[in-house]
Amino acid sequence: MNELRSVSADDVVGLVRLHQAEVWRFLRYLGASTELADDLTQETFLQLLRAPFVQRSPAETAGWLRTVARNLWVRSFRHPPFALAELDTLQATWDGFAKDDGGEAALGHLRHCVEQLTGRAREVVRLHYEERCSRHTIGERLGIGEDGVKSLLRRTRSLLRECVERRQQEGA
Amino acid sequence: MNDWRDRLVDAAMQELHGRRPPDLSARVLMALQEQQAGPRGPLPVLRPRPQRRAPRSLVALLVAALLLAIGMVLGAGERGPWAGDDDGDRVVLRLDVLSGRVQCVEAAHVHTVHPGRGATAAPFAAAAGHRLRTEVPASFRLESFGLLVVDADTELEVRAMEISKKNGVVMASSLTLAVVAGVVTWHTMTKTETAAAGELLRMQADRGTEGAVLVAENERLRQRLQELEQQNRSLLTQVSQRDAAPPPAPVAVAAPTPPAAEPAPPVTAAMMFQDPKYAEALAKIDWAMMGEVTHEMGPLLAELAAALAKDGAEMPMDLAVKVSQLNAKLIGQVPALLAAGVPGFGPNGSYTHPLVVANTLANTLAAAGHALTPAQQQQIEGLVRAFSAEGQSIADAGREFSLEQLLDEVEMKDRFFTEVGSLLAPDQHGAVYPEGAAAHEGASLFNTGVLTRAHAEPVLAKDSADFARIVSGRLGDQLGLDEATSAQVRAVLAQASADPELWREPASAAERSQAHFLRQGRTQTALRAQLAWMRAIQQQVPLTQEQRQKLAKMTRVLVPLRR
Repeated sequence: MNELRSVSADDVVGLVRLHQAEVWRFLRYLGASTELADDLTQETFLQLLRAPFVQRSPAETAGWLRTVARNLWVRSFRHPPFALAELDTLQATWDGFAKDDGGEAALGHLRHCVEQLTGRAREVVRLHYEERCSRHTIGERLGIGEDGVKSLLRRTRSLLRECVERRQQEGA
Repeated sequence: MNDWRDRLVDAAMQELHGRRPPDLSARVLMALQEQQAGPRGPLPVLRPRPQRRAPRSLVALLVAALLLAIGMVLGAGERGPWAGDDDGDRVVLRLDVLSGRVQCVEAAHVHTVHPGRGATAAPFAAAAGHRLRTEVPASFRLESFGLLVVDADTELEVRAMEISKKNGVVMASSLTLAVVAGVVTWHTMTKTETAAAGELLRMQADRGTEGAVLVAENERLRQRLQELEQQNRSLLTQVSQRDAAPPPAPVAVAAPTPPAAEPAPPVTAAMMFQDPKYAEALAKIDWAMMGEVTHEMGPLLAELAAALAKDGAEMPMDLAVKVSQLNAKLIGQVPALLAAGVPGFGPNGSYTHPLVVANTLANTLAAAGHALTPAQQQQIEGLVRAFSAEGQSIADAGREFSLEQLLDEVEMKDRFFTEVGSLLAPDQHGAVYPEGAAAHEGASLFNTGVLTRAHAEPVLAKDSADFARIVSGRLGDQLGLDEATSAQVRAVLAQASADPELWREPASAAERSQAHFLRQGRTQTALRAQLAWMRAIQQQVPLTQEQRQKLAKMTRVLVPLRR
């Protein structure tokens, strides 16, 4: 068992560098805007300085930080956008994606999967994520309605998720 | 696929396409420094955050109970005395005036803010239509939006803000100011932008810079405290000596004797090169400080650029904070430069005027222990006179595009720096141009990178077609182009920006870094190309008169960087 110890000032910068991307990524996954994710990530690490935190393993530290971040996110709402009962689901979904590297490998897989896309799926990804066009504009360019764009995007994301999971299982 | 899985892929896709996690190391480092410097007490709040309202619903109460159960001290941050005034249409920002004075016009309420040494920053209610006015040159910080340096008789109006608001929490992330009159320059650690009357200044909150500026402010206050303590000790000593000393003897009147021959005093830092036109205002500049700061900052800038030139390098925060502290001292002299009316393309144009450069150079060399010789001084004086005259004629000339003045100035100042550099002895040259300083724009304070960097805006693109797509989108927004006209602009851009010279070198690590250290000369090449495509757009695309004027007044150089 690892020795328990309080976090020292020297540790904090290292911990921030190690975990900040995952905390931010997790908040974005929960639905925070980039600005709010920036702020809440900052506040999460502030708790690390304030709270009686003890450092165990990196995985446990990551879990502690995710809990703080999630609660800060929940606390920013008068009415949270999900039921508390969903917390287990969202956590399990995140764990499946992020594994033990904060999602770095999954992002690498996703990049590869995006490159494999063809046809309208590739086009809708380019227009939506790269050019940040509105659904209306995308619909005009692809000759479909806004609902059609929404469905196409959802189907494409589903394909990408399957591709990522496949690559994770294959250990690519 | 359930919503959470879909949301996860969506967030990951957005991250792949540019919405990257921030680097918070600087903020944490700053918090640690404050903690170590002061007595133990409450931990510093990195950025004031508005108080969140207590959760009211049952779910929120359950969440609160959960938080208590896991024993966390959830912190809403401290707020300023003006907190609580935020509502959906306005955000109260801290206004810290460093020099001059700033008048805040908030609907019917008007108040004037004077330099306040940071601790007494005043509130400014930023809302559409609210204004900031100056009658004299001024510099001030606006919360996390960085430093603004304004000319006399400048008026800025809040046009738009991007704010996020969750359950009463209001945070400003971007702020657009319309320049109603005068000129304003916005400085952050990584960016400088100038806007004149009729233009818009779009500022983004830069929390990293805010951290650096706060550290600089802390350092300044610490130094001030030391000075005052020193003065206090000195006064106490004088008082005790006076009390103990015998009464002074009557002064004996004697025939004056010729002073003993003493060696000539060393050259003291001062304004070595003069121009009667600007003498009075430039005399207010602390040239000795300019020299000392420049001497100290030169090697650090080169070191910073070199550190960021390595693939995957992170911003060395200690170094960046130090550079930012020193830079803040130089920026503090800018209002005096503007007040002097030294000609130049924006504040950095004035800063790189031959007269200013020569005086800074002389004081930098003095600080380095390699002062100019009388012969060098005489030769440089001749160069200053000649190039100042050329600079004046450039400033006076009429042009179709504002950026033509920038190009003319850069070319003239390149020659000036080369000629001055050729007059320096090797040890002097080494003191002014540390190793590596010449490689990147902004890595040296003695080349035209200082000027070009202030106007450069890197655009990462795959090729000219990609560049045309990105830039036509921006021009469409800035000039108010409809879709058909934007498409024409895009076609012109794709053709005009296909010059292989622009795409030969891919973006280096330093260029892609947060500090955007562009290769020396990159902006100048892009500027020439931009003037060519701006002319082509004027000639080939049917623009309205207003759109033509906006295009002609552009002051940003869009620098293509090959991905």
